[in-house]
Amino acid sequence: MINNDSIFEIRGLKTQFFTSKGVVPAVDGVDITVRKGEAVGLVGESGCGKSMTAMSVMQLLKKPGRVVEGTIKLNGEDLLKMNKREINDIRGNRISMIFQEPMTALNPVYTIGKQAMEALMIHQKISKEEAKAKVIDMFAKVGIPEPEKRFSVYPHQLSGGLRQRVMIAMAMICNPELMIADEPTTALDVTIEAQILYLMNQLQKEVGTAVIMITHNLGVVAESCDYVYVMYAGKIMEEAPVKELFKNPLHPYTFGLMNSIPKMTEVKTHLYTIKGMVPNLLNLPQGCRFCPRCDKAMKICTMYQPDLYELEDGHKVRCFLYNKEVMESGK
Amino acid sequence: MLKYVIKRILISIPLMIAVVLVVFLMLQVLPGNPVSVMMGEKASPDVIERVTEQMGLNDPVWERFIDYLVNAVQGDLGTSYKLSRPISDLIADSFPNTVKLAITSALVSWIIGVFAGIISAIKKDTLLDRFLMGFSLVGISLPVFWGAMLLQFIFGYTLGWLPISGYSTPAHMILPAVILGWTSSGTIARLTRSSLLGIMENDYIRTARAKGLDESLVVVKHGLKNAMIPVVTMMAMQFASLLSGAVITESVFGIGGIGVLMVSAVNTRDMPLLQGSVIFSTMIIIIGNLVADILYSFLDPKIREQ
Ligand SMILES: Nc1ncnc2c1ncn2[C@@H]1O[C@H](COP(=O)(O)OP(=O)(O)OP(=O)(O)O)[C@@H](O)[C@H]1O
Ligand code: SF4
Ligand SMILES: [Mg+2]
Repeated sequence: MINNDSIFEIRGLKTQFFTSKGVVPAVDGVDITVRKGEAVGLVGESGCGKSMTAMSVMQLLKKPGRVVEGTIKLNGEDLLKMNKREINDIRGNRISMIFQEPMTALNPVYTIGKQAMEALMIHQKISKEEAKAKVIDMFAKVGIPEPEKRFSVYPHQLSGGLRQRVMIAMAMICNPELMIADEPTTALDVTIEAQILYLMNQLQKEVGTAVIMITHNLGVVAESCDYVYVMYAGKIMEEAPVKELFKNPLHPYTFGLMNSIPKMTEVKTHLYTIKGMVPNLLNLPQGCRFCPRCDKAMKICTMYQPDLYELEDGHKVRCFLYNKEVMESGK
Repeated sequence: MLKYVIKRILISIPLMIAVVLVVFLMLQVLPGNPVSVMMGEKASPDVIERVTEQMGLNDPVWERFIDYLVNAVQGDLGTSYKLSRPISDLIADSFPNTVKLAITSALVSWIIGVFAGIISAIKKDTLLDRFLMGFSLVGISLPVFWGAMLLQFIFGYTLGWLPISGYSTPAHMILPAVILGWTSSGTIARLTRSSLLGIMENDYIRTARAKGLDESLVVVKHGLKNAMIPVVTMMAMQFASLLSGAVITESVFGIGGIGVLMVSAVNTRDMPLLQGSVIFSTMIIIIGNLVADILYSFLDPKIREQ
């Protein structure tokens, strides 16, 4: 990116799982750029590598998964070159993360107040009383009713929506530069989803935190993001500012995703209607990864992998349909 | 919480009565007239008959049971045939030794068990893990009498560092505590390990790591407290079982505790003493389980709040 206010850059990230059946390339050369205070969407079907991208950033990958290539830079410092101590200074402080499942993301044996104070206590040199006051403030900000009383409540006493608010409060408590939200609303029902997205937008504007919003729902992206990356089978297939993407979607996969946006007013029953199956990462097609499911596939698509072509307005797409040479040569 | 505790206590009362009944009936059906056992082979049948009548042993079983129960509640468990002393006195004499043995060996067991379990879990699948789990498996499968004699031979006989038998000084307590603690530690170590490994897979552990907590803090603060819930329960039950008398260890080391008291009651066919000591031991186990339950609920906020 030429843009100077980019605060966070992932370049050529490859994350692989070394299983007994072979190497699974869960994230396969991903570039993502986030500018200050910007909300970036990362969207794609289940299993395309969204969470593993996030886990690579947080260095929370579980064995046998490992980052094998690439750089992840926060304000120019490469997280992948840091030692454990330096990573811990960043986690929960400068980059925080919210997870999909609010029901299990909180420790059942500590009060939510205590859990929310933890990040403050390790990253900032403040007293317990100050930390407590800050947490109660933050609870109020994320719309937890009666925050003083709720401070000493255990997670199981709260609904899913409230727990996700607690998670957001915990993630925002140190005013991070970047917050990664991995499907923060998928487990919630539609009205609560809308409230939580609205809340995240508000906070993000107020505090100036940049967000990477991971979702399989383009509707969520439309609602809450400025820029979007569409991911498929470990690769970015298309990226553009949100308005541009919705006005002018280019990749056949993006079309498919658009057609399957669940309306915010409908009950979520099924999510996707793109024909065909998500590819097996152990046995990928030789050419374009979307080829077996693509209704515009050409001969060249079965043989070569397309690059990410940059068009006007920074719109990028990984598809031969947008490569002039290929199209003119008539293959 | 208080309601839960009271409920649990009330539930255990019928259980205790049932236990007394079972033990009582079991000893009724054993062959042989206890009076003839007590008076020896030379007593004449007339005398035996008279004494049996005097002691109320000809009354219906249920009547004797009620009597026994009422007396037991007041701390009177009858009189030993052979030793002619109140059974409660005999128990009061031997119980302190059993308590000392239980406390010292439980400490050994818990310290070894919890540490080995944590280290094994953190170093899962390494050589250290295998060694510790092997060590604890040996502890679980080791016959206590054999291990006890081995320790006596090495530290008592060969090296002469520690006394082999008796229970009068702290030095006497070391070998019994080590062997009993070691054999009990295996269960704790394995439970701690598996519980901690299971807990470390939880989403909230990932949340704790994502906060920037140091890994050792993640394990100790977020993992261990959850993982200890089943372990503490096991500890309480183990402690109760130690308190109810370690027959073999007490015998091998010549410790005059509840276990030895029960063995001598069996050997001398002293039925009231056997009955009294078995009931006492069982009560300890029931109370131990009760405490384990209450501890469990105390550690788990979900149960605590009900
Ligand atoms: N432990 C593992 N062993 C092998 N492969 C794994 C493992 N964990 C993840 N993967 C691979 O990584 C791929 C990407 O997983 P990831 O969780 O990032 O998907 P996702 O896009 O977040 O999907 P979802 O929407 O379901 O959360 C999966 O398709 C899977 O093949
Ligand atoms: S490259 Fe070919 S197969 Fe791949 S999305 Fe474009 S048209 Fe379809
Ligand atoms: Mg995911």
